[in-house]
Amino acid sequence: MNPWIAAAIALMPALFLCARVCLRGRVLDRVVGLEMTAIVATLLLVCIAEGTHRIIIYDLALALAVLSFGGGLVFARFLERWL
Amino acid sequence: MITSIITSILLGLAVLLVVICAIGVVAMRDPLQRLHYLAPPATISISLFVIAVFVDEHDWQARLKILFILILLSLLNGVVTHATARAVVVRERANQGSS
Repeated sequence: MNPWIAAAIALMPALFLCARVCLRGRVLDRVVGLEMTAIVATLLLVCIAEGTHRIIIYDLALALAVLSFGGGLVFARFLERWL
Repeated sequence: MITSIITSILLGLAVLLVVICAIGVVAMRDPLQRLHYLAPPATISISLFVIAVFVDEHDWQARLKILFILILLSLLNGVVTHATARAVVVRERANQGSS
């Protein structure tokens, strides 16, 4: 157990809170929950990358940061215009 | 020893901020209010993580990648927040117009 793994474990409640928002509420509340989940998951992956000393996991966090941006924009655009 | 203590303090602050903001996202009732709680984790927490990585890690690849993540999260979060807020406002106006 090192500080990074402890931080990763401490971030799990935040993930569950975001899941609660994603599962309940109106559509746009869920989109906000999804965006928060992506941020928390990115930070979680950074903690795991440092805690396990596997630099390659940083690539996952990087990809998640980029793709969550695209996904959030797609959701916002669709909910604004067509849904 | 000292680097471990500094890393632990930085990580503790970052995680505390993320958990507080997650509680804020749950507690707020309106999507526009919830959006405010996305900014601190995407800027302050990741900055604390960057400092912790620079203190704890000597690998240049890890430092470079965490800097990329900081830049991406900090810049792109504002764009996504704006787009989501715009969608909220447009939908509210459409609902008011139809009712």
